[in-house]
Order: sequence, then C-alpha cells, then structure tokens
Amino acid sequence: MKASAILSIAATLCLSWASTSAAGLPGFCGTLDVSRMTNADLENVVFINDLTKNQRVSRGQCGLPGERLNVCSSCSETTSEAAMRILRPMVGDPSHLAWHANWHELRGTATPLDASSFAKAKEAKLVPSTWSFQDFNSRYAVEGGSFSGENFFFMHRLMIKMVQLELAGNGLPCFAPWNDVPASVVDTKWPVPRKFQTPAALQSAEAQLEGMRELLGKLRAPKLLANVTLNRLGQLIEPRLHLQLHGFYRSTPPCSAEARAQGFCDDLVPVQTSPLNKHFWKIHGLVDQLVGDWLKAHGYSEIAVKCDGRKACYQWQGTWIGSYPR
Amino acid sequence: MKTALFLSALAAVFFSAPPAAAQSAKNAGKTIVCQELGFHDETGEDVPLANIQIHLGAQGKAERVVVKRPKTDELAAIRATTLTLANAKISHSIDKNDSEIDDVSGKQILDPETGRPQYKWNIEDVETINAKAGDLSVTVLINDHLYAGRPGSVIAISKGDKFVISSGQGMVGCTGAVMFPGDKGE
Repeated sequence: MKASAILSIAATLCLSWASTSAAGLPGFCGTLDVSRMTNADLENVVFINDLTKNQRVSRGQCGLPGERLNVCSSCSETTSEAAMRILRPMVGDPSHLAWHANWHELRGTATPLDASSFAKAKEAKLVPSTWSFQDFNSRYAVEGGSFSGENFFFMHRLMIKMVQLELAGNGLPCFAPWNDVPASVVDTKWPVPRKFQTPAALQSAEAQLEGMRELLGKLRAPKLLANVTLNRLGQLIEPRLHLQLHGFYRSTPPCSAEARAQGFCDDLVPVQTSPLNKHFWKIHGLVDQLVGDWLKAHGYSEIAVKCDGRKACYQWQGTWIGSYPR
Repeated sequence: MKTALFLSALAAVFFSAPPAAAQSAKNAGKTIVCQELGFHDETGEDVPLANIQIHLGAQGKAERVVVKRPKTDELAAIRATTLTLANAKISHSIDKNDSEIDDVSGKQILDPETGRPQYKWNIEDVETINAKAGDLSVTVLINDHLYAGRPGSVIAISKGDKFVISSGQGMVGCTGAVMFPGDKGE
C-alpha cells in the first residue's frame, strides 16, 4: 500500500475514533472516500480497524461479483434494524441523500436535463468542468446515453461498498443481495410491507410479483446476456425491474413504521429518501448480481475501473458519480 | 411533532397544491398517451407493446380509452377502441399520510427537536384509470413519483378475472395531459 494511502487511512481512523456509533463501536461514518480508494486499500482500512480494536475477525466477500472486497464478517440474509440504525447517520446524511438524488436527477430521470440546469450542475461541481452539455447527455442521459446503463450499475455498486465498509467498521455483517425476487408477497423473510384487504388484492399482488420473477428470468437468460452490452443491460433493468421493485416494496403508508417511530421517512420510491429503506439494499444487491451474470456471459472474471491489460477483466466505462459526499 | 409545526405543514399542503378540480380543467380536451416498451428476448432491442390513449373531455374527465397491443408469444392481440370507463375522474390525489409532513414545496427544513431534515414524501402523484369493454378490463396507473412522464407507470389488462398483463413486462411511460404538482407548464 502506498504511503499516502496509509496516511489517509490513519486520518480516517482518527476521525472515526472521534465518533462513536450507536453500537458503542467506532465506525467510519462516511469519512472514507470509497470512490478514490482501491479495494485493497478498503480491505486494509478494515484490517487496521480490527487491529485497533484488538479483534480477530475472518473477513470475506458478500455480493459484488467480479470484484474482490473481503471486508464482511458474514453475509446476512436480513437487514437488521440495529444495522440500519448504524447506517442511517451516513446514508441519511443530507449530503449523501443529495448525492444520490442529484445523480438520478441530472441523468434526466424526472425531466430531461436542460442547458441551464446543466450549467448550474457544473457550477456546483456535480459534473467535470470540461464536459459540455451535449457530451454529458450523450453519455449519461437515462434514455439512450452510451454509458447510462453501465453507470447505473457503477453508482449503486459504489453505494453498496460504502455500506459494506460502514457495517464492517461497526462489527456487523454485510447485507446479502437478493438472488431472486422473494417467493411470495407474504414471504416469511421479506413480506411486502403493506396489508392486502381482500383475497383478490393479494392475488393481484402475487401476479405482479410473478411478472417480476419472469422478467428477471428474461434478463438473466444467457442468450440475452451474451447479446447485449453491460450498458444496454442496465438500460433494460433500470426503468423496468428496478423501478417495479421500488414501487412494489414501498410501504403503505410510504414511510415504514420503524422510520416513523424514529421521526424520519424512508419512502422507497423518491430518490431523496430511498437509500434509508432496508429494501433499497436488497433490491440493488439483486440488480448488482446481474453484473456478475453479464461478466460470465462474456467470459470475464473481473470488473475494475482500471484493468491494466488483464485479459479477463472488463473495464468500467461509465464512472461518473456526481459529487461524492464529504 | 409540535402542534405549530404540524399546522404549518398542513397549511403548506393546502396552499401549495392546486385544487384537483382546477388542475383537471386544464386537462380538458387533451389526451394522455401511455406506451409500453418491451424488449426482444434474445437481442434486447426495444419492442413496442401496448399503446393506450385516454381522451379527456370537459373538466378533464376521461371519456374514451383506446387500447392497442400487438400479438406476442404469450398473448393474443388486444384492440379495444371504446371502453366503458369504470371511473372517469382525472384528478390528483394528495395523501396527507401523517403528522410528519413538514414541507410539500421541496424546501428542506429541519425538525426543531431532532435537527434532522424532513423530506417531501407525501404527494401521491398517481392517476388511476379503470376501463372496461366486455370481459376486458384495463387499469392504467400513471405514476409521477420517480420518472415524470417517463417509464414508471403501470398498465394492467385483465380478461375476465385473469390477468393478461400485470405491471407489464415492459416499461410504461405516459405523457400528455396530466399536470403534476411542481410542473411549470401545462
């Protein structure tokens, strides 16, 4: 590891020692710039964190196919409320929520981006100063951008890494991704968080869920995966399965009971609040699994920002993330 | 939440959201067009699927629904040009779900007790159109939450009591007449 990286880690730990999480353990509290650190550096941060606490933890991988990031003490099927309470100060920080929301909105998810909004975004340093409006749109506009689908995977994978680091730093297991949509609307582990008043309403919801399962099957079909770029796969998933899952696992009322009891809202639909919802991490875990399916279909075993000529490595092409929260 | 804050939140709901009737009138004579875009199973290329037009009459009420969907591997073609409307009302439903609502204008304010920001989450910008023709029924849920006028809506088509499309295998985007709170133009 480079000396500068060690210094940065030391600085980070100093910051983390200054704060204490709800579990009584020091956490990173979003002080790590995951976007600028290599996975090896991130593993080292967790290793040093373990050392400082004099704890010996065997750490391994949880999700993130195509990358090595052994920071998880285990890969838990559940997302406990204790873990969510640890995460919320970070993912619920206004700068984090704005980061995610701005990223979505600049891509034109709500309304297509116009030149004046782009200029404002540039002023706010959400996009590099050298980019033109046309360049940005042709690359990152949600409809048809040459990197927009791939970038959708990239951005949310980065968020998953941030969460894994935070959980690891607090001695908690990582969240395992869903490998499929839950078996039923009344699944024992992942029930849909709303009540169905009539048998017909329940039947209708089950049919909707079955539709999503079929759609996932279509998206995972080896023939389709072999024929599409990673960008196209992202473009197929984002407005369909991803969006449907966000709507389907939304609570009624839209803020979950746990959130309301604590005085905030974790509505799974608006981009301003969705990362606060536990389902967000399961849905994006599932979406992220499809990156692995695509890599396999194309003979890759690795995905990285820089492949440096490694043959079985796919190099990310859409890496714009807006302004990383500080 | 303190009573004063709750009252101010309630006032914000009433003053910032145009009355449903006023919004509906602006939609008079317009057409909402919803399109379902599927994809080819093997190539991933776009495949146009359902096209649904909802024609609005006076006061922005839906008067006619036209549904066209080509034959697919799974489903026979659907063509229904005038459907009886089970509900003809086009209006915005704005849910005031609980007392935690602080601001509907998008302006972030802090909860004085917790210091935490409160977020806009209470507006249900959803229009539901239910239409029937014989044993064919169509429900269009036009959703503006995440992708206004963009994919994010839902079309459900049932024949008798059996779903033929539920939520859709494709993405559904609706554009046209409906104006949502926060929109600048008509």
